[in-house]
Amino acid sequence: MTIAFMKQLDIWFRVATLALIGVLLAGCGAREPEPKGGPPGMRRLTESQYRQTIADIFGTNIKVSGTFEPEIRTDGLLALGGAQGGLTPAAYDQYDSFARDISQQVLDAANRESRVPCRPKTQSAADANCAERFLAKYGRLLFRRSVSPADMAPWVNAAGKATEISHDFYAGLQIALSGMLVAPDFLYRTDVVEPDPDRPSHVRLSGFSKASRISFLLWDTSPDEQLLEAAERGDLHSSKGLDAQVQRLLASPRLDAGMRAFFSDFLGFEAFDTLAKDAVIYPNFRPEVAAAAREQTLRLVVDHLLTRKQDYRDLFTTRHTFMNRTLGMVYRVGVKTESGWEDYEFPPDDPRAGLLTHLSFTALHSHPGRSSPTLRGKAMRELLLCQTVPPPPPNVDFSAAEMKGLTARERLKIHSTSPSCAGCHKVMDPVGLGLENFDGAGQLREQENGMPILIAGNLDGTEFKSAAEVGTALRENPALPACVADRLYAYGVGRRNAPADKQWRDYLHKGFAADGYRFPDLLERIVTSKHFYEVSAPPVAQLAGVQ
Amino acid sequence: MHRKSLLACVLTAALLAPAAYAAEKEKTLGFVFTYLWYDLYQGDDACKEPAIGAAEYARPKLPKSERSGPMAGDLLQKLRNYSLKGHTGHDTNTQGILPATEQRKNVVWIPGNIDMCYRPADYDDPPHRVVTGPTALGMNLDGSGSAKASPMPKLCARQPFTSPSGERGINNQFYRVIGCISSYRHDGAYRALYSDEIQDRDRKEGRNTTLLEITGVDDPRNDDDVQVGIYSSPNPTQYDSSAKGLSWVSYTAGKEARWSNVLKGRIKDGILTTTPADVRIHKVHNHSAGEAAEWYIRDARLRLELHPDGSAVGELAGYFDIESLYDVEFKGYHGAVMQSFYGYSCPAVYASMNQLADGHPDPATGQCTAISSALKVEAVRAFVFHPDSKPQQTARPTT
Repeated sequence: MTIAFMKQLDIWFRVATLALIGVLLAGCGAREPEPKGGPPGMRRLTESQYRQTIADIFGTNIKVSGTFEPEIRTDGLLALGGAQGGLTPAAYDQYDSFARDISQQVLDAANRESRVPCRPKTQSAADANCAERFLAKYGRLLFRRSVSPADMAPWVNAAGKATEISHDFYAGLQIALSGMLVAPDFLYRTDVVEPDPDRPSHVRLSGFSKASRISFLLWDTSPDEQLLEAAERGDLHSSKGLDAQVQRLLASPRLDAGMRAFFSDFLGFEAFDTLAKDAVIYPNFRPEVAAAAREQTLRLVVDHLLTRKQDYRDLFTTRHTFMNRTLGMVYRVGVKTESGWEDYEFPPDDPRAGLLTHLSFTALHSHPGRSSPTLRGKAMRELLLCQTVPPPPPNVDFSAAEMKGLTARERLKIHSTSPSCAGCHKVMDPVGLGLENFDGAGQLREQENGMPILIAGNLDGTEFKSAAEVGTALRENPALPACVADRLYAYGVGRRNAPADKQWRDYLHKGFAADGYRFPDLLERIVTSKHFYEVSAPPVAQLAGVQ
Repeated sequence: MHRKSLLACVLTAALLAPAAYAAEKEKTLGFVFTYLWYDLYQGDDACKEPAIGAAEYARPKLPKSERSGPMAGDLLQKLRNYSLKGHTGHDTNTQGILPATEQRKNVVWIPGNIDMCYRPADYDDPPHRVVTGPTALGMNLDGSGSAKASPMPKLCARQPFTSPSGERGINNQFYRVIGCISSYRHDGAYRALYSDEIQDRDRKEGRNTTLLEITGVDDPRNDDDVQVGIYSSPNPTQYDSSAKGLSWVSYTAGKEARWSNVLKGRIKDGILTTTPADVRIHKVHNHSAGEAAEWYIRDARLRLELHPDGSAVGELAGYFDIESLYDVEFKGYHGAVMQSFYGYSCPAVYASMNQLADGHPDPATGQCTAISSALKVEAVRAFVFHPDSKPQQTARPTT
């Protein structure tokens, strides 16, 4: 081999390497744009976060019995409602009741030995040292940050005073623990900021606040001890330290719980809590059907997106799902497994395919006694495509909807003749009519009122002639993946997408596409981004004393 | 990678398509029985007088000074208590009749504290009051129209009934036995506590679920050669909130081979009939202990109207083996408890069943060992699985 040839080879190698890097860069999209950030916020724990946090900290044998105040949906997400809503007196009473019940269970005679890390000198008198050890141990986990003796002093004092009255050390601890469980530090996830040493005049989220963002997004619960320790060490402020924790959380089976929580919010599944069907019209839609329908979709979401790492868009066309006997009765499919779930594949000639044909969509977005193309179209637009459908005018005439003997398509023609209705209904009804093969309980049907059901329409220009093709049309709509990416980010940071975020969102959408619309990649892209942690206010000058 | 997957899918679909088509053609119709209980004519002409309860039978057992008076109040309570003797392991106090201690003090009827319903042949109660009317539901099982023309030996020849629609030769002698007992009558004072309701409850609790599977169906309206499976299942039968059977529920047949029956059948104009064959169906006879029993139906035959909406109604008739039928209906604690309330005594009923037996004579004695009866059947469509069947089945909607 000559030197000239070696040089030539070297040049070829360099060119090839550069080309490869270029391709990889193109695949990964452009660099993340400079983050603008948003104001630091406070978010109340959701019901599932509250329950999971209590189970993680105190054990699954501690029951949280009772009903939570309904959460408020804002800008498409309950998570954003939780960032805006206040705390009503009724909600506070509920939290207080939960707190008393939880602390009583934690410190009852059967549990206290395993949970209190020390023994009081005498059970009938206060013991500040032992009380502090107990309260500091759980205070750190409940408040999701390190706690100093000064932080704990009020709680230790409260325990001591309660013990003086009750002459029972554990009753004193119960009072203090109850107080911590209704403290804002526990009930609210508060973004704490600090001066950013790398960027003068900027602030950054504290390590503990970063830990909460990561943990609540990925696991739907408070940070575990490892994550708190990483935050305490400052690891989360470095790419390497952050990446290590993100990879750990992403690789955990607990990611399932995080994604179940997100998709429950994203798909509007809180409506299952109040879903009821007319028992005369749909006798087999029993209460357990609603619970199973919710579970079916969440199982598929986790299996499709996390276990199989498939394209998000294929959720709307896949023939694969899960079935149990409760659902089999409504889907009219046989289920061999007597108790539990089994994989199920809708046959090629079955009109069902994808999430839109699940009961969690068709039955959830229907009236108690009949289907509703309007509600289904609205859900498709608002939930899945992040589009806004204005509310109906106050003087709506519902008489058309009550006309007997017509198909939904015929009834809804009325909308196109009324200018006040047509504007909104033309974006909801045509696409909703594509699912008219499913009645109000989500059962397959070929006729309505004795007349054949015509399935034909288009979604933003893509024609369809069957329910399965509605799913295909949705799959091909670029707003579909963009919507879930936007909502996931908003869910994680707790604030709505603002016009200033356009560059970031473009970057996110392109990255999602470059990743083959694989959800774990989208999660990683968000959680390791600067945007996820960026806060914009207030100026450092106003942060005197905040460390 | 995706192209390979696509190719594999296409090839798989192409290979599976003929099999799927064949499976569709060779259709199987699954059902669950939502009602399976004696088909009883409820007309006023059935009984001259109602059957006597065991409490009344107990009256002669009382001291003379206490025997007279109407069957009410304290006397009724005491007589009922006498008729409840000997339920070892069951405290009759739970029935709200008398304190257990008082009950034990009053044990006078059954020596040795042995339940009379377990040993019906050991007692000689006055005759049971049976149906004397001419009308009954059921089938003409022996093909004759009268006792004289019956092919049975004389010892077993019984006068048949005429159906409400005028069909003669109806063999349903078990109806004679139970037709005047209050709990079997829809107008009976205690029907709300027994019979239909208990059967419904047992089906809902998975104790008497029965499945029907018609296989080899080329045409659901007319097919002269189908196979009819009748299987007991441990799965609860599913009903809606108005107690109507739910369709399209999946059920698994039980593993006990003796309660898996396969008959030959035909469908004509939407009516399924089967050729006579012995059928065994799982039942429980002791609700407290859940003891296994069965309807052992000799020469059983099914007649079922298959409706376009997926429902089906008809009858399952045949000669019920007397010993197993007695076990199902009267043996054990529930039989003993019921006899104190509902107008029969176990020994009298047992004797009556033997006297009216009209099928399967014992070759040695000539005494018939089975009694004609008919079960009313209501069924809805269901998915029937067997312990070794494939995991996925589908069905087309009927709406």
